[in-house]
Amino acid sequence: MNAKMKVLALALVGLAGYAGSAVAGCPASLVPPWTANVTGAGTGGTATSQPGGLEATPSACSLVASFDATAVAFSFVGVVDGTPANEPTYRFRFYIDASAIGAMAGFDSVQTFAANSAAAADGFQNIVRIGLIGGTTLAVAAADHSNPGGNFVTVGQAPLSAGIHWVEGQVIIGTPGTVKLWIDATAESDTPAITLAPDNTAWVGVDLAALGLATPQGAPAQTPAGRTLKLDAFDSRRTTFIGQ
Amino acid sequence: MKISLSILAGALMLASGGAFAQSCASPIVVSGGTTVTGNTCTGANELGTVCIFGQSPANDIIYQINVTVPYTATVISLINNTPAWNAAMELITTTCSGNSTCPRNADSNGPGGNEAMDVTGLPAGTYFLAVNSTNADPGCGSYDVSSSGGFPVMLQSFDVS
Repeated sequence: MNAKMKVLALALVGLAGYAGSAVAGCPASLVPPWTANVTGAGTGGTATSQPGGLEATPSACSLVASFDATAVAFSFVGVVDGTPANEPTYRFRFYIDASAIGAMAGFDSVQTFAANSAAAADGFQNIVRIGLIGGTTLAVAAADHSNPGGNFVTVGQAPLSAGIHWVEGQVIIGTPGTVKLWIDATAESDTPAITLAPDNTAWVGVDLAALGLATPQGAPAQTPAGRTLKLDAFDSRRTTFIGQ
Repeated sequence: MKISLSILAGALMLASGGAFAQSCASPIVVSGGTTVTGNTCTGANELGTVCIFGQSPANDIIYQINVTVPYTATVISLINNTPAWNAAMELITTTCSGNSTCPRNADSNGPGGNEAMDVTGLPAGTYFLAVNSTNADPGCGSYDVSSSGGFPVMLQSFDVS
């Protein structure tokens, strides 16, 4: 693991751990170590650090992202990591609890994670987006130059049962590249829940990652208020499997 | 006497609307107080990704707003003149890029609907207002954009010789 990414991983694991408490020991601000965050009045919701971690060995706090009644199709509340630098291989991991997302119809969706390129290819920058469809399906949308009929995106889906889960992903740029998503796996040899082989060379590498609650589609767009995702322990690396 | 009138030029562009380049590289600088007319059908799809997550296959018209505090603007309103167009506006921070965050968005109504963006409480800085279509919608249309109140005009350059 590259030293820079190791530092990043440590910093991001410490999302809820640094000093400066506002709510039962949780940080008052999401700014450090993140490079940006979107939260508060007018942004479509809130993203705050709240008591109740999601890890197997619970941390004190987790990231709680909620829409309010002002959320619209492009809303995003959460945190942004701008430290990746055109990474041709990129690993990420986070815990998710979607129990408070609320009732969603079959094709309603929200997004929770994005790994973007620095520049657009085929008109967009999302190398990988992860969303929640219908409240019970985790979906990966991967940039794929070889799929113009699908708007240059290839999609994979996997069921997400109720409760706390940890999600790990791998992005390798190439022709074909590799996008894998594990749910609650303990080793890299475990079968991924989703495996895709998109042609993503044109996107060069991951240059930014974002985690939170974004882009309500379908019924949530009309009734987004109160929809909540709990997230925790984001970690990213260049190559090695992160695990729980 | 030579007077550099960049502010006046900006005001004139604001009044005349869409005849100028309206891209991230050459946005129209607006400060409110008048109505801007435009048509995204005459633009280009410059921001295929918006607000990090959003999919925007539609054409964009880009305005720049230089916010200094205090300011009087409270709402930026878009009047939609195209019945089939599902308009949207995003206020993009700092850099005109799909990887920039958006502290404000307006996309509450469907095709033919108007949009309104609450712009109270913004920190000082440079913002870009993108006019395009709702998520994953390639449609386009014509519009009028205005604001209640305005943003103070920053003196960019002025010399007399």
